[in-house]
Amino acid sequence: MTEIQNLIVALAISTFAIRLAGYALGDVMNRVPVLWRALSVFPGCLVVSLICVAIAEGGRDAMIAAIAAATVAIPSRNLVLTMVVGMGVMAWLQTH
Amino acid sequence: MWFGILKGSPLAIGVGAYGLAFGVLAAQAGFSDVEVVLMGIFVFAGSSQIVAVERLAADAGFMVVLVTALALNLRYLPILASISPVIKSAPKGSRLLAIHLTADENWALTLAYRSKGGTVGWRFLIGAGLIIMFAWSVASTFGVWLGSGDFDLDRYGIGFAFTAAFIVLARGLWRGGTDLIPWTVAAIVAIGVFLLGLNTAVAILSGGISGSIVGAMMPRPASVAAQ
Repeated sequence: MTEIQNLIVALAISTFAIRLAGYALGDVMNRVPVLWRALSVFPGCLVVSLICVAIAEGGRDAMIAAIAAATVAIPSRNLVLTMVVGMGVMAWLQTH
Repeated sequence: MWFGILKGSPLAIGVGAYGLAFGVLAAQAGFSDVEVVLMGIFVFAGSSQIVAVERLAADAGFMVVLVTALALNLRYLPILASISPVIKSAPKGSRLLAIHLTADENWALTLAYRSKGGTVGWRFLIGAGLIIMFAWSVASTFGVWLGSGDFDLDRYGIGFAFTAAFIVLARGLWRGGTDLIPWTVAAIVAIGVFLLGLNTAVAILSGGISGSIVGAMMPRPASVAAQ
């Protein structure tokens, strides 16, 4: 199997395990609000970290493109529009 | 179930947009159409699939790709916990299907209906999950065909496509003012660790973990259903 196929299998099995654990731990988690809060705020924090590292890696151009993309994304929540604007600004900055 | 399919359809359009973008990016990372469809059906967690493809394209090691993508899926712990009373009422076989088919969109839809006094249950959850899965599969297949054409998407700033997708993801995850402090902490820690020269996966995970520790210590209603 290729690396991609291994990744799909590993991701499928472990994601189902997480879902099953969440279902099985339902009652316990309802009694530990601190754990619940930590887990529900975690995805947002992780995505913010992903964005910040991408900008830090990409430098000035990435930062400008990210600001442009956020300006579109915050009011519209529109994926296609945000990608077009972000990539457009990035492509323009890198060719000028 | 049909009611779930019907009410899930508007959400499926949004999911389809993500699916299309994911397909294009996955094709650029070397995925075939069959692989993309199988991944969608068996993983069924779009944002983690996008993260996995991005990390793979960035040449991160196998375990780094897996851990980063799974970290994002830890949100299914509170999500499944909050919907477990709905799933418990299903017969055993359907229960496993309902657990697998619980995604952000149909989870939120089901709980929203129930909080308004609706009588929707596990059949609704499964129906809405199936229409989302269908939309994702079709859209991501088209995305692969589009993305594996004879052109080089790098010219169009494709590297930034992921960042743009993450920005929209973050917008969707934003739950209001209480997120501000944890998110700021996450951003500062992630950039700080990155500037120290450590592995990017370490920077991303430390940002996520420190933000959620701060978030857990802040006073807030315990129910994720209130999002």
